[in-house]
Amino acid sequence: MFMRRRFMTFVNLFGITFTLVILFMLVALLDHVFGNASPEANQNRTLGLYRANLVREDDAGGVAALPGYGLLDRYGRDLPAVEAFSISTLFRRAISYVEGRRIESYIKYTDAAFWDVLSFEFIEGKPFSRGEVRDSLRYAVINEATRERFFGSNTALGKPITIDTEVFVVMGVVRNVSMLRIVPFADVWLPITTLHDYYRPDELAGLNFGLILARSPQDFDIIRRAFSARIASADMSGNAPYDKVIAVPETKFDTMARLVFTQGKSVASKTPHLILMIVLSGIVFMILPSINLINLNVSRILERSDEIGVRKAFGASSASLVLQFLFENLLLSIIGGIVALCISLLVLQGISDMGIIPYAEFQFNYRILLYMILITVTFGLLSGLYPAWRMAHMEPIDALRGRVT
Amino acid sequence: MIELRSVDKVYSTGRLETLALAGINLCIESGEFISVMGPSGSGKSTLLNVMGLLDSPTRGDLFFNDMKVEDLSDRERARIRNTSVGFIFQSFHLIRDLPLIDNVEIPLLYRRISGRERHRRCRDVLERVGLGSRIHHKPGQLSGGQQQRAAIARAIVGDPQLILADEPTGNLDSQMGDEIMALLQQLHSDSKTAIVMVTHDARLADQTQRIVRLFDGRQVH
Repeated sequence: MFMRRRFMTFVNLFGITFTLVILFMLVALLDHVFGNASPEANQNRTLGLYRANLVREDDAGGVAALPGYGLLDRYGRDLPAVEAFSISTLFRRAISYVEGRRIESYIKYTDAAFWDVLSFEFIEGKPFSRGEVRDSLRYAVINEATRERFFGSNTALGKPITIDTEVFVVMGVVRNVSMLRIVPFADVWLPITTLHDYYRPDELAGLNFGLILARSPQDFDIIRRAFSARIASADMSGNAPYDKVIAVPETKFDTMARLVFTQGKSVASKTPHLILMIVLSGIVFMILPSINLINLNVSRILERSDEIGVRKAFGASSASLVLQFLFENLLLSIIGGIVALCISLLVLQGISDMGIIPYAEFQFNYRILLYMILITVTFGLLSGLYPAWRMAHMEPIDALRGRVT
Repeated sequence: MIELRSVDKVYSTGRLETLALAGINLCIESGEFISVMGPSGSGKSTLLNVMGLLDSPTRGDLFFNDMKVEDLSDRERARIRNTSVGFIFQSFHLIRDLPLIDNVEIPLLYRRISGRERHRRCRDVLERVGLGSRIHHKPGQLSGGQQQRAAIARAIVGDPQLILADEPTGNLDSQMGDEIMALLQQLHSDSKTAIVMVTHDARLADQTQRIVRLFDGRQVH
């Protein structure tokens, strides 16, 4: 049936494939940023403190930043129903020289609980412990790319590594982490106690992340309420002229939703709004190519009006013809989906290989496959329903006489 | 089997109304072979379409096997067309991209019959109309007469009670037309299927049991 009007079929297929490639890549990107994958494999029971807003009661100005060390240390520790709590800094650049070669790395300072909350894959050695952090021992965990840069193909364990003129000893090597996973990302992880003046008890807004590993997802509400009660009476004396700090233990997606809709100035959840916005954006994005396909499909139906008339004359019900056409359209969409999937995988592999996003390796998983199937079917139905409806309402006698418009 | 009582059919296009049929009273009994004659525009094809439930009367009543058609849903009408009526069109209306066997199969697709049984019936009926060696040919590879035979095969594959043939020989030369007429006669005598045939050809009409004449949408006697 697709071979009857090959050019039209090709145009249809091209339109479907092009649209689906873009949507598939967006899905892969979103999954790469927000999906469960090492080292963020426990996201179903992880909350984070990713934003802190200092505001004034009169709403005249404010500060929006990551949480400060003081906020996390004073109000984030020892919350109920928490298995592990970690404070870490945002990554920053550092310079090293090896045999005259300049090497730039991203470094991040963390506590020991960081390795409990996240699930890094160690290919050599192990992370630094609580005792080692407490004693400010100069140990480092590096990623495999850094091992390659500093030590070539040799093992790195126990070897010194100089970061910004300071010397550390490598005690662990982990798999590379994509830069899009901004919370765990770095090339080198160092104990937070080795950072000069890390301890700033009055700092409510700064450049840190707090990570909370709950006992179970069911404990999220307990944790949020407890934190909210503490933060409501936060000591603002060292943060004049601001009267209040807004911070919420939440998922990254929740944080993004609050940022998009309230710039982080409200604690109210905006996650459903963001989901709706993404879904509607996806549908709107599909509408234009759908309209194009609808036009093509209507033309195909009009060209097949003779066939439709014959089928109706010999007893085909409108429902059976609608199903037939929808099936044909879905099949075409599925073919387009498969082609789009192959193209998307190639493009994503190309992006990974080119290193446009450091260490980003776009992986294909069942979640992405599920979303892709959903998108393909939605697209097939969206572009097929109206033409199928037109077909259903065609009078057989008009179809046979070619009197359809 | 079919009864029309004071049937009118009016076509409206904008402000223009065309009376295609007016006051038709007609009874077709089971097993009858009748022809419908009249000049162009007299309503012959419209009459056939109304009888075949492809079109609805504007006024009047149509009964099919004692069922009032007006009371039937679209689905029920489609079912009747599928099980009880076979159509033969002047311009064959075969689907050009499908081989003959798939064309003939169309009425059976909308019944609960296995694929194997469908193909068996299609092969049998194509043999019957003399196209047993052409089942995988496409319509474009056949002559006009062969295409019309294929259309007849399609019309009879479902064992309908009624065949409606709209100028089945109109696009054929006289020899082919005679062959088609002979085939219809044979079908009629073999299975006692009622046949209503629209024709301009008096020679062919004389071979049927009764002639219904139309003029300007009305029956004339």
